[in-house]
Amino acid sequence: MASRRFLSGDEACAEGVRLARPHVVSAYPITPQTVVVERLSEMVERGDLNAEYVHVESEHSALCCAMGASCTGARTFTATSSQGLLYMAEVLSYAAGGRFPIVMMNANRATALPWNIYGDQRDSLALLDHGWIQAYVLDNQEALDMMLMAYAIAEDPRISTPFMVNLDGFAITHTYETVEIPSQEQADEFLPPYETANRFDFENPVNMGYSAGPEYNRYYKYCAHKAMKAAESVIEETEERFAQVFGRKYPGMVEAYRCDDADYVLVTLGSIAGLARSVVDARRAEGQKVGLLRIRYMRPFPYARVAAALEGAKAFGVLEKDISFGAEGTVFTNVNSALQRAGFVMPSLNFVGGLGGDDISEADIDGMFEALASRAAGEKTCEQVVFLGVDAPWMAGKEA
Amino acid sequence: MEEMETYGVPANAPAIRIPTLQDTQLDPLQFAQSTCFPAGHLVTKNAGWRQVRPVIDPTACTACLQCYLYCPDGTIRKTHADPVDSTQAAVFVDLDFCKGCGICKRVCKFDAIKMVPESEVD
Repeated sequence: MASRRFLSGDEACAEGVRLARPHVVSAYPITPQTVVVERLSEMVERGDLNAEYVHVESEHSALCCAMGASCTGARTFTATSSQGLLYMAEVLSYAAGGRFPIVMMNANRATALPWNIYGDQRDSLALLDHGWIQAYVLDNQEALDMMLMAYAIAEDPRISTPFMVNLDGFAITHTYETVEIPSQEQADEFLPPYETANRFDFENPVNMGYSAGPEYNRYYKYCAHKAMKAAESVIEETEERFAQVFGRKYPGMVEAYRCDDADYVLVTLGSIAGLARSVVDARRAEGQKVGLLRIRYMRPFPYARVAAALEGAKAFGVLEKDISFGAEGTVFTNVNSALQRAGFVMPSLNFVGGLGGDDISEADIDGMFEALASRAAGEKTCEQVVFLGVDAPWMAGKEA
Repeated sequence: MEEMETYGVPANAPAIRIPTLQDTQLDPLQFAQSTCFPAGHLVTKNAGWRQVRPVIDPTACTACLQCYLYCPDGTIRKTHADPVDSTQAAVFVDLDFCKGCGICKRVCKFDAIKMVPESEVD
């Protein structure tokens, strides 16, 4: 029987991992991820989860350990955040190149310096090129459900690619909501045991993690790219199957909310989409044609779905908790690329906010829609890349 | 929107499959699906930029092994040839790794090594 409990995002994530029955959990605690690994170690201690819990000495070791375990055909889990994720960076490409379907939870948190433990998305967005599938969840239920789907997608023999599930630090990891916890029977029906040929086997000895020089290297990268692109349809298949078993249907790689006839669309990802949604509802109630596009997957990037949602808009904005210094927010770059591929040209603004856990208010999102309307009318009231709380046009005349 | 790419998984999508050394044809699009392979070290020849190659005259070679000691890339190996056997030199050059630098020719006191342009061999 499924049950309902009042859980934080971290706890929901731990419940999802428990239901996935990993053989090995290796992790190093870091705020705001700590509760995930505390709960998992308690589950192992109590016997609720029959896994080897490895207390490693660093995040680099955590992922190395998960990779070594995956080499034996084990289902593996690790979790980290911010500097810990950056410390893992070397191993991220190892795990992806070896095609080990490790699932990792990342609590999105600011990167140093200045030192800061609060939420933004600069940690994972800096690592989009390392070959991991990257998903960003909206709430605690999605966090739990995404853990089960992550294993199903990552371990699909057509994909065999590691999977990073991103939860906004504190906004999701430490916020409590009622979450439905599926039964183990349901989880087992949805997620079969991991089987792979990509592992050590005494009967059929293999060499793993070898080198490949210039002559062959490109083939490995090509295959990894193709597998990641193939994940697009496997994600949809998996969500379909998930809905059949659990009765909750997720909207695919993007969630287009009231975008169909929208003049102005705000594109964002993670927990802030919840607030943006209520602003969209309020403005729709006043007859304004606005929409919200929530990106659920940054890798593979849903080019076609993003372009389809923005088709016909007069202007769009991307709100993200990231800045690639000297350029723009990385999500903005990716969205622009999707439109360029589709041949769409429209005015756009990039709203960089929430850095280091800074609050993004309803008034900010209202301001974004106003700024988009004036941009579409040809006015230039701000730079294309706007820093919320610094040079946002709706700040004019107000105390910062 | 016609030009928009759509990505489906083709029915014949390559799942991870570990090739065997008995496979008659090793297709990189198959084995590059993972880094898991029987004896799967892919040897890379590291000699692509060699313009001239050392050719050893076994009748002049005295097995002094100076070339073997001086080769900066360790590409010269000792053979088990009898030093008085003039049909087989005491050393041979691993051409998968020789860069053609000519140091072996330079140190050879018996003019037993000639540097021959690649275009004139094979």
